[in-house]
Amino acid sequence: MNNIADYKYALDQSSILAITDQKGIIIHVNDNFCKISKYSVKELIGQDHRIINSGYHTKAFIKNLWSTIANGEVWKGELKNKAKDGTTYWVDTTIVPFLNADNKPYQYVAIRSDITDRKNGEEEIKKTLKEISDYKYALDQSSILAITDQKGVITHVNENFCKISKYSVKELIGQDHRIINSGYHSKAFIKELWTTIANGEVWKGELKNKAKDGTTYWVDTTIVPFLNADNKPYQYVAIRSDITDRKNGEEEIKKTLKEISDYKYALDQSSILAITDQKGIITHVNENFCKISKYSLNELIGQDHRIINSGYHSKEFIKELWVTIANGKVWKGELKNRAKDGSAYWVDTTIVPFLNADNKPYQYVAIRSDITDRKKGEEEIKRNHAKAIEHTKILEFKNEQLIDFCNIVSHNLRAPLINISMLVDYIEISQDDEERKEMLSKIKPVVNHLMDVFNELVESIQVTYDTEIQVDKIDLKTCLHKILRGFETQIQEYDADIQFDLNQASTIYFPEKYIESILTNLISNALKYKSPIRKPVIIIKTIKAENNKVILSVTDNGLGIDLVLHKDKIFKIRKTFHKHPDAKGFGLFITKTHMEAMNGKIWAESQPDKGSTFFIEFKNQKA
Amino acid sequence: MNKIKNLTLVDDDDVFVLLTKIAIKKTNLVDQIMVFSNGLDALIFLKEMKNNEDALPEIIFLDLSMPIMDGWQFLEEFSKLHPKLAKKVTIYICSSSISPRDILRAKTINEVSDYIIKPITKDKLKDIIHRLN
Repeated sequence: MNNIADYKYALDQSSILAITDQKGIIIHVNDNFCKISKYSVKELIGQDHRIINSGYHTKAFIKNLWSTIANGEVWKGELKNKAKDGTTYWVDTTIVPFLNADNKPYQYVAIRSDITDRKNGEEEIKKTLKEISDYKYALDQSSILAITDQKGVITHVNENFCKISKYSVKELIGQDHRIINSGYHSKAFIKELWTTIANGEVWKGELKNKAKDGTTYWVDTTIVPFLNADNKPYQYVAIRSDITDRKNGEEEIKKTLKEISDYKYALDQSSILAITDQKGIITHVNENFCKISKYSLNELIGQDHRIINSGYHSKEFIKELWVTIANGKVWKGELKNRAKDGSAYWVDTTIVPFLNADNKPYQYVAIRSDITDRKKGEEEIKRNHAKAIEHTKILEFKNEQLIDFCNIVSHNLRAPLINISMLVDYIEISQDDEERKEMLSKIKPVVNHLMDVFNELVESIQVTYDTEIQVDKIDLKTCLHKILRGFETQIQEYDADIQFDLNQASTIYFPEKYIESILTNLISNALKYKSPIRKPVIIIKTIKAENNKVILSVTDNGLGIDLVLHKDKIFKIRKTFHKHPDAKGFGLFITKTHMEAMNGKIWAESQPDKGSTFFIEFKNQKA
Repeated sequence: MNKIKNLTLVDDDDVFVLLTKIAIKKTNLVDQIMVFSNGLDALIFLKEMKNNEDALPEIIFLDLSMPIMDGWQFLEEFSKLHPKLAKKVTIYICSSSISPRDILRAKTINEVSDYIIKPITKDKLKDIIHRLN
C-alpha cells in the first residue's frame, strides 16, 4: 500500500490528474489540473469533462478515444484542451479505464502532462512547412524554375520552364544550362553573373534567353546558390519570370528615345534653335543660333527675343505672328533678323508653341534655317526684274522715239527736201527770168523750215528715258514768273489774265530744263490758240494726288481741240489742229517726250470753242 | 487721151502745191485744179457737192501730214461718204513719206487707188490719168 501511496504521490506531483465516472462527470482533479485549466476544484467537481474541450479535435478522433476506453483499453494521445480564460494548452494524455467486476469501466483516470510548448513548436513547423509548400506552389505556378548543379547542368525544371523554352523536360534534364543562351549578353555581363553566384551570393538581373525554335524571350532572373556545409554552392536555383513584353516595350521605348535623341541631334546640328518662355525671354539657344546671331550664349539667355529684331517687318506682320503662336498654333514664315554686329540675315522660321495642361503656351521653340543667300538672290532677282522693267521701258521709249524719228525723217525732212529739189528742177528748165527769181526766193524759207525741223529732231532725240536723271527742287511760282516774262508782250497785247493756284503743291522735283520747256509749251499754246472773241484767262493749278504724285494743270478758255477727232494725235509730232501760222506741231510732242522720259504722264481735256485743260502728272514727289 | 474735168489737191505745203499745179497744167490733161490745205476743208466741200456730179473731182491727190484733219482721218470720213457721191472719185495718196508703215497702211484702205511718193512728175501724172481712162 505504501508503495501505491508513493506512486500516487509521485503521480500527483508530476502529472495532471483527473478522474471521471463512466459518464464523463469529473469526480476528482489534483492541483496541477486546476493550475493548467485555471478552474478551481469546486468549479470542476460534478462538471462534465467536456468543460475543458477546445473543439480542436475532429469528431472521429474523439469517437475513437471514447470507444477505446469504453472497451476497457488504455488511450494514449495528445489533446488540446481549453482553460477557463479561453487559452488552449496541449496535454500528453493517458486515459486508464478502471473496470468493475463486470469488466465495465466504472471510472476513468486521465493522466496528463503539459506539452504545450512542444506542440506549439510543432504547429509552428507545420505552419512553416505549409507556408513553404504554399510558397513552393506559388513559385511553381508563377515562376519559371530551374535547378542546376554547381557545374551548370540542369537537374530540375518546372512546367513553366518547359513552356517558355519550348523544350520538354527530357530535353532539358542533364543538359548544360547554356542550351538556352541567346548570345545577346556581353561576356563581361555573363562573367559577372557567374562570379556572383559562385561566391554564394544571389544574382538578380534580366536575361535574354533563346527558345528551342530560335525565338528569344526576356526573363527577370533570380539565381540562388544553395550552399553545402563548406559554404560552397552545390546547386543553383534559378527563378525566372517572363518579361518579354515589358522588354520589347522597353526596347521600343529605347529605340524611340534613341530616335528622338537622334532627331534632336539632327535638329541641333542642322537648325538654328531657340526656346523662349511665354513672354519671349530666351531660355535656350544652340550653337548655330549663337553663330548666326554673333551673340554669345551668355548674351542671349535671359534676354528678350527682340534682341535680334531687325525692324524690317511691319507691325501687322509681327502681330500676326504673335497672335498665331499665342493661340497655340504653329507659325511658319521668313524673318529678317539682325546679328550683334548690325548685319542682317534671313531665316526660314518655324515657331512651335508648347502647351501646358490649360492649353496655354508655356514656351516657344523656334527652329530657323539660314536663307540669307536665297533671300539675297531673291532680292537680286527683284532688283534685276525692276532693272529689266526699267530697261524695257527705256526700250519702249527709244522705240517710240525711233518711230517718231522715222516719221519726222519721212514726212518732215523729206517734204522740204522734195520742195527744194522741185524748185531747183523748175529753175533749171525755166526760160523765164522772172519765174526763176520767184522760185529762187521760195528756196530760202524752205531751207529755213528744214533747219527748224532738223533742230527739233535733234532736240527730241536728246531727251533720254532716264529716271536716274538729276532732279531739281523747283519752286513753281519762281519758275512760272520766269517763263511768263518771255510772254510779256503777248500777255499785254491780249490783256491775258494769268491765275495761279499752287496751294496744294508749291514745289516739285523735276529736271529744271524739262519743266521750263514743258510749261513754256503749255502756256505758249494757251496764248497761241486763244479765242478770237474772248479775253484769254489761263489758270495754272496744282493738286496733290495719292502715292506722292502731283498733278499740274493749265486751263485756258481758248479755241479748244476736237478730241473726238484728234484723240490719239494730240501729242504726236508735226500734228497741228488749227490754221495758225506758228503751229508746227512740235510743242506737245516734245512736252510728252519730256514727261514720259521722267515716267510722268500728260493728258488733255478740251471742248472746241470752250477751252482746253492740259494735265501733267509728276511721279515720286516727296511729301 | 480724155481730159480730166477736175483734179483736187489736198495738201498744206504751199511750195509743193504751187509746183505740182504747174506740172499738172503742163500735161494739158486737166481742166480744173482745186486745192484744200487740210482734210476737213476737202471733206466739207465733198459733202456739199455729193449730188453735184460736175463739181466733184475725178481724182484727189491726198497728202497725209496735214493740220486739223490729216490724210488718214480724211480717208476714214471719205469711206462713209463714198457710196453717197454722185460720181466715182479716185484717191491717190501723195506723200513725202517713204516709210513702209505708211505705204502698207495705205494698201489696206479700199478707197485708195495707189500711193505716190512725192514729187509728182509729169510722167507719173500722165500714167495716172491714162489709167483712169
